[in-house]
Amino acid sequence: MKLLNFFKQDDREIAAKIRAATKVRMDDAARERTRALLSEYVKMRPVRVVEPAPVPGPLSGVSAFFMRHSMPAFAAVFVLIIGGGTAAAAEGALPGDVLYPIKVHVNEEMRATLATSAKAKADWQVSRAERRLEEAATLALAGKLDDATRAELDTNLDAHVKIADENRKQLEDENEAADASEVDTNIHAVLIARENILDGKLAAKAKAAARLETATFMMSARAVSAELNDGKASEGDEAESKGHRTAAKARIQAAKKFLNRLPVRLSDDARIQVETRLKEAAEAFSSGEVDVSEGNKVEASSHFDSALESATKIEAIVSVSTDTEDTEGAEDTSDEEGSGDDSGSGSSGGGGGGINPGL
Amino acid sequence: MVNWLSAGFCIRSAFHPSQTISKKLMENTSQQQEEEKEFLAAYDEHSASLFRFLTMKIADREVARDLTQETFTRAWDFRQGGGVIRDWKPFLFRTAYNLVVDVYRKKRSVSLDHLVDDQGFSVSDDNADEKRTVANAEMSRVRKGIDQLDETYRDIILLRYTEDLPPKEIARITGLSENVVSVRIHRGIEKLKVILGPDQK
Repeated sequence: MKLLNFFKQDDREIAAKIRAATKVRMDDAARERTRALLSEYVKMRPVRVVEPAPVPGPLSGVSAFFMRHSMPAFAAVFVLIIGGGTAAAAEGALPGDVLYPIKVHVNEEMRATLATSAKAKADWQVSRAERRLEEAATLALAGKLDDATRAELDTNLDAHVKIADENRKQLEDENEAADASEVDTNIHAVLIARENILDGKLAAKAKAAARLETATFMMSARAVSAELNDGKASEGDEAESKGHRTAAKARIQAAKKFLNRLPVRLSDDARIQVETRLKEAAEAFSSGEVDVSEGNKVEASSHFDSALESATKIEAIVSVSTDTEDTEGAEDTSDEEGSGDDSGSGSSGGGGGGINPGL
Repeated sequence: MVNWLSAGFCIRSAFHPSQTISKKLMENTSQQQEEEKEFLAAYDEHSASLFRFLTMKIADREVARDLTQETFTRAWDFRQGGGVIRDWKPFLFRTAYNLVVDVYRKKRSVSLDHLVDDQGFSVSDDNADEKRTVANAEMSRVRKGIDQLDETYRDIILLRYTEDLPPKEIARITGLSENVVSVRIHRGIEKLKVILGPDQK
């Protein structure tokens, strides 16, 4: 007790000196500028409200049909009534969320109408396809990517790719060969990324590999990645590299969201593994981006491959960990109470283990 | 007649979910506004101390300002992703601390005292009593002394005395145990006394 009191005793004089000597402040103009920037930032990135899973009601066939097909119209009306804030709020929605139809049928369609040239239209459709992949990766980490959702996302992705391909043909007709070629590469890249994220068999294989090796923290999905590459040489190195970039980006973003939200319980070991893999993936991805900007295609491709390999492992680690938790029962969950707040998340929220936020 | 009733049922069935959506959208919009308000209030309350801490830690005004902003954007990203922040101050300091440790690895190259003089930092006016007792020359001497402290002690001394955070909060920010923090506060002060000279003993 004496020792504690001793440590708690502050030397008032020197404490006052330290306080006085280190009081500095930001000038008011800079402070207000930063405040204004942050105010804009929070409007651009609205808080996502987690909704409980919808319970299907006993709707008649006609009602269900009406609901399904009138949703975009309702969504448009509500956006008009309530304003841009809702549209912005919908941006973080996932399949199954209340706001998801607004994201897909209003926000994205509206943005599609803003694209005037065939190239811009194609680019936006490719971006939409990438958004579907990111949604799939996010749901997969949360253990919510069931077959129906997977199929729905796959169908939507196909639709985006189809429109992009129509725009590509239009570019060819207009003798815009360079743009048409770029769109073609981007489409192939999305299709390669789709195999990585939406192929259920591949995910199962990665999971099996993780299950075998998770104990030693040496789990390797290299074989899985290699399998991805089989038969893809004809699609061109650039498309493959871009495909790996697209898949890695989607998986990294999904993992970051997952770690911030932690909707399922992860063991400490699994969390460390996920954070380590995420850090590796993000760093390799950043290196790849730098290589691209400097024109080093080979190095970029190598970095994107590494990023994808690390990012692909994350889903498998999470899947194995949650499976293990399920089988071990729920009797040890009491020590988690209250740990889902800032005290346990500061590391990921703060600093994120060196993860580049600018992906 | 039956058909009309049936149609009415279908229309009600179709509109009911949309009314729920409308209500939820309004709730979400209202929640968003509350979240924004809370976030900006946290900025108003803690940005000055965060900026001060970051400036002391990295000795670069521009970078400290950028990192202050980055700290808040990361805090918002955490909220946006569904995280809960119960107490903003330790969360923000922990975020800032990790940001410097993990992302901004540059070592201090400018002395604190030099920085204060050269970059026009003003000593805050809200410590009139302390200012009366501590002359400018003495403050300069203290700053030089803090500069000489090993980073292990300097961060903790700054968090304890400049930011007035208790050892428990410092432990959460730095990831150390509370005991280790208490020991470092004590040892850091002792080292500073030695650096500043016998009159501080």
